[in-house]
Amino acid sequence: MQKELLDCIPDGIFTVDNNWCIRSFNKAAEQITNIEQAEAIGRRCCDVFRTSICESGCALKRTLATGQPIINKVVYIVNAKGAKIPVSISTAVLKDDQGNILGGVESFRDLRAVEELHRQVQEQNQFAGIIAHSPVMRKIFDLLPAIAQGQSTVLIEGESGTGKELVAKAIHNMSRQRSKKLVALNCGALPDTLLESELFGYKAGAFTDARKDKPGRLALAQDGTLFLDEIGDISPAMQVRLLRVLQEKTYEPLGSLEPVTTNARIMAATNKSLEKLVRENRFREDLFYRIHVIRIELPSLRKRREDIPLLIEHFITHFNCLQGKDICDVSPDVLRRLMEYDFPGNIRELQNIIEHAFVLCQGGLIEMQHLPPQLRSSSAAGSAPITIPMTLNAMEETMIHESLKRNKGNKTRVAKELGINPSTLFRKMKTSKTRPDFSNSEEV
Amino acid sequence: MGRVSPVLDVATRFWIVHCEENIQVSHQEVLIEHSSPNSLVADLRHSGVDILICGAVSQPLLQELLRSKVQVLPHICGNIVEVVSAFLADTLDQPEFKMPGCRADHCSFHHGYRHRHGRGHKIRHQKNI
Repeated sequence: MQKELLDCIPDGIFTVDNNWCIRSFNKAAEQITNIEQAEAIGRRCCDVFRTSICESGCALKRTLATGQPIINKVVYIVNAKGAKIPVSISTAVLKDDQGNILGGVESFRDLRAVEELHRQVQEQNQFAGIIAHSPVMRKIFDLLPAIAQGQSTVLIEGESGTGKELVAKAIHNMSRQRSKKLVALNCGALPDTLLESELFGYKAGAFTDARKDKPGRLALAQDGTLFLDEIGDISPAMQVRLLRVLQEKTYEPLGSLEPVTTNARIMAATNKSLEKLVRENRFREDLFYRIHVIRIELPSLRKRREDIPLLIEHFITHFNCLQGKDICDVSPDVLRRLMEYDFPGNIRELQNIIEHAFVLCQGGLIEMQHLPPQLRSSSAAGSAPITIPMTLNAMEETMIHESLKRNKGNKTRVAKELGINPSTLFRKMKTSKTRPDFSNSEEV
Repeated sequence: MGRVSPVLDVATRFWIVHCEENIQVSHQEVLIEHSSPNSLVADLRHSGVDILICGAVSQPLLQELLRSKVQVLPHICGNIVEVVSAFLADTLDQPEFKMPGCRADHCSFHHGYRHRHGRGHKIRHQKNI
């Protein structure tokens, strides 16, 4: 009866005696390990089960030593065909009616299907290395392949840390020039003279230390892509020189009398509004229109908060691999805190926060005390701490409420900020308790 | 003396046995911390290992070992002294040294191994303390 019962359970289960020899082995265990019950019974459990922790930290051994069960520890086994199978194991002590220890019991769940699903979800949630599933980012992802196929100049606008260079790389990697170089140059970091020699290169003898020819970034990007970061920071004199490159596709290296032709595709990025700079006469209008052929505006992280959990998961996986740690997630309090934070430094700031937490957290969950000091007090975000348990619905409700406050009750703007249809917003507000009293709200 | 490690992929302690004319001449235990199949295989080759006796091994690591001309005897279990003696006596194919689930299609003796009587060679065992 007991055997039939065990065979009905979809999880693998085996029991061992006090000598670590297997005493029972159910059907699911046979299927996962590829080892028949008759072969397993009487053999040492490590020779049958063969997990990554058998030698270094056997879970069953720890349970029998401490009496404490281990629940859902993720390890892998190497089955008889040499396949690595991820499993989640749980252990417990096996006792008789008098409380004498007879051995241990271990159950294990095959995680292959879960991992496959996880992989598929991860694939859906990223595009060319950019992690996002928010509607606003999805719209950008949809545009990128078409943009990549053309040769037009691209302007990528977005706050610092929103991933402008990643988008430029994605476009280059999908373009016809992908086998050629993507050459990046940060225009904001260099004074005019240096920027000029970096961009156009120079001939030997052009100035005192120019002993031999040096190709500029434009020459290096020939047949490929030149990515000019912080284009809004270049001087009016450089703007004129760049305009000539964009208009005539030619330039002259320093000290050269012969113009050189370039066919590099130009992509530019800025964390400023070029339109505003044009209005303020700080950026040439003609250059602006040369650059502004295709414009991509990357939203700040606070405008796509639904991507925060996904990015947290991504950074945790990244730092776990990098630092060999076993941190599984952030605590609900930390998630809530990060969801309400405004991230002036955007995704780069979130990455730094997780990296900071990795220094202080040794394993398990990232807790509030592992966050940087400015994030530990909720007053930094300008809102009171939320003490209710945060379910998905509650989180949604909080986000809508906060957005309504920010936008003074203007539901059209709220829907745009949250990346949802206004009718969806109305429906969600109707079904939730989000009924703020905005006496001066701009109802639209 | 311990037992052969159940999983080669995560084993870090190796028992190197130097044999001549089917007689164990010397042995030593070495620690190899490896982060990838490549680094483990490179360290084994660097130590002059000809034959590796081990427990379960993942396919990527097994393929890497075979590419590097290391003869592999996988799915072996048991006490290291007894395993070495059985290897030298050419009786390692006895059932007590085979891990459960080892069948002909992926069994140790189908990876090109033939015990070379009368020749000196180094073998390596994983050690399970």
